[in-house]
Amino acid sequence: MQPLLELREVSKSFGGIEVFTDISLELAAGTRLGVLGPNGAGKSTMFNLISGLHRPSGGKMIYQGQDLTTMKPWTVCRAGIGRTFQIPQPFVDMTVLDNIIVGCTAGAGLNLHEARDRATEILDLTGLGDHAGKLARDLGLLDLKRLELAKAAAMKPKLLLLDEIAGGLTEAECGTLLDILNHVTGRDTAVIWIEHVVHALTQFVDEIAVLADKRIITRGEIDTVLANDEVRQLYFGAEEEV
Amino acid sequence: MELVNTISQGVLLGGLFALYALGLSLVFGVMRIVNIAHGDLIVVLAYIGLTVTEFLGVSVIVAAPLILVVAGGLGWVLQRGLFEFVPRHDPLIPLLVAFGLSIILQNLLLMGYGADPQKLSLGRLEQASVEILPNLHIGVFSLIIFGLAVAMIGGLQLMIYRTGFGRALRAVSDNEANAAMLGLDTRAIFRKAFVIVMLTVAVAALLMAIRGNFDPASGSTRLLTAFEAIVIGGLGSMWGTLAGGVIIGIAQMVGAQIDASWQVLAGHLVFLVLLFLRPSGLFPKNDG
Repeated sequence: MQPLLELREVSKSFGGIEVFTDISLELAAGTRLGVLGPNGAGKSTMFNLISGLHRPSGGKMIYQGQDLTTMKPWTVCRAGIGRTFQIPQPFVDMTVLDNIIVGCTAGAGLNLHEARDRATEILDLTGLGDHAGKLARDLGLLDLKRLELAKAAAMKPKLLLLDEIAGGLTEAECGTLLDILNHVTGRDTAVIWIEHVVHALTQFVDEIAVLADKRIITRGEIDTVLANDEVRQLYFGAEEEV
Repeated sequence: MELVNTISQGVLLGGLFALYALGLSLVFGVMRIVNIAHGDLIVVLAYIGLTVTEFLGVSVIVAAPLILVVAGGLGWVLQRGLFEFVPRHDPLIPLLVAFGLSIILQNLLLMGYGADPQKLSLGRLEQASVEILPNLHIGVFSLIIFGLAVAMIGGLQLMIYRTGFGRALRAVSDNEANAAMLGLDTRAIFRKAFVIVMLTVAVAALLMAIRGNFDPASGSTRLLTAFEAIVIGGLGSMWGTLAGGVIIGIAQMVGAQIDASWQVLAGHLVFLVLLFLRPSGLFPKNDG
């Protein structure tokens, strides 16, 4: 069966600096993939390429048989790929409700009435129901992360790209976030989740890939990957117990 | 009574200043471009108005719809053909591009029309006046200008805060990358925004051209007045811009009463004083 997303030998450099030389990846519909890797390995850059914010320097990206490589961000979004940013990117001068309605109307193509219903539903699911009328600039970090997730999930994407949504949260907040994540993503939603908070990641994903040395060095089931010597050396430090 | 007369004239003149400023404010608010060529675009539209009315041999009112269509088209072309290619990560780059555009436009106008001052005519309506209070006469045309300014600001406010396109505009202006990633075609939105900007420019241009003389170099003073109105009012507040325009208008009219050479200077002086007292404007959009 054709994968939902396929990256073929994708490379990216900025000026003369190579971020990565060869990312090859296949993702079946409904798969939840975690991505680990040291800072600066290009994890967020990979998301920027998939979501159309930047263009790859080489290689090809195929999504549902369509060529993603030269697509504009809004086309990528309308094709069913949603993403969150590592640093939450709300519309600060708009209300929480309006923040979500934008995606529901422009990205998911709902009319205003449907968008309002969907936004109210997702606000309740993410625990933001009481903040609907607040300006996004007045939210705290956990609520900003909730909003970031709500914006992307409200569009019911087929592929959801999560960029370090657990970063900076306490353990209890992580638990809350995981609950929300399970509520907003059905089993048919494929997820790629970049995360440093490994214990949060392993509670959600089916598989893990590790991005380092400008390529994906390994991919597989959680336990296998975390036991991999190269991964332990690179990511956790050789001596440390996982 | 003379003072009341002077102030009422200033208030009405302020409507024209606010109209100059609307497009400038929108371009900055949505695209984050400081459009130095804004005043010259007003003058270009005034000349287009002149050409269209002379060519068709009709009055400005009859030609206005056609002029608006031309202005909208010009806005689309400017965004699609020029500003779309200008990187905006460094605000200096679009500033320089607009500066270059300003010089090109001024010289094209000079080549095409010469340096002689021109004017559009609205016939008897220009001189018509109504007596509101005993001895207080107000020009009908001034009232029309002010009415149009209020109507356009109200209309733009409704569009920005009450329509889907307005929500998209606010989103793109707030966070462009996020907007694109949520499915908003930011390129199309910018093009439409520039069309709307040029529609406001056309209205301002025609009113300016009927009210007094203009020549290819008239743009810079319009730009300056527009800037002052925006800054006095507070960035991002359109009603504030109207208030800013009115303040400059009153200052100019009072200044002109003292001495004719004081008219323009008085406006700038009041601007400087207000900038000193309220640097973020009378009605700043955000406190933070």
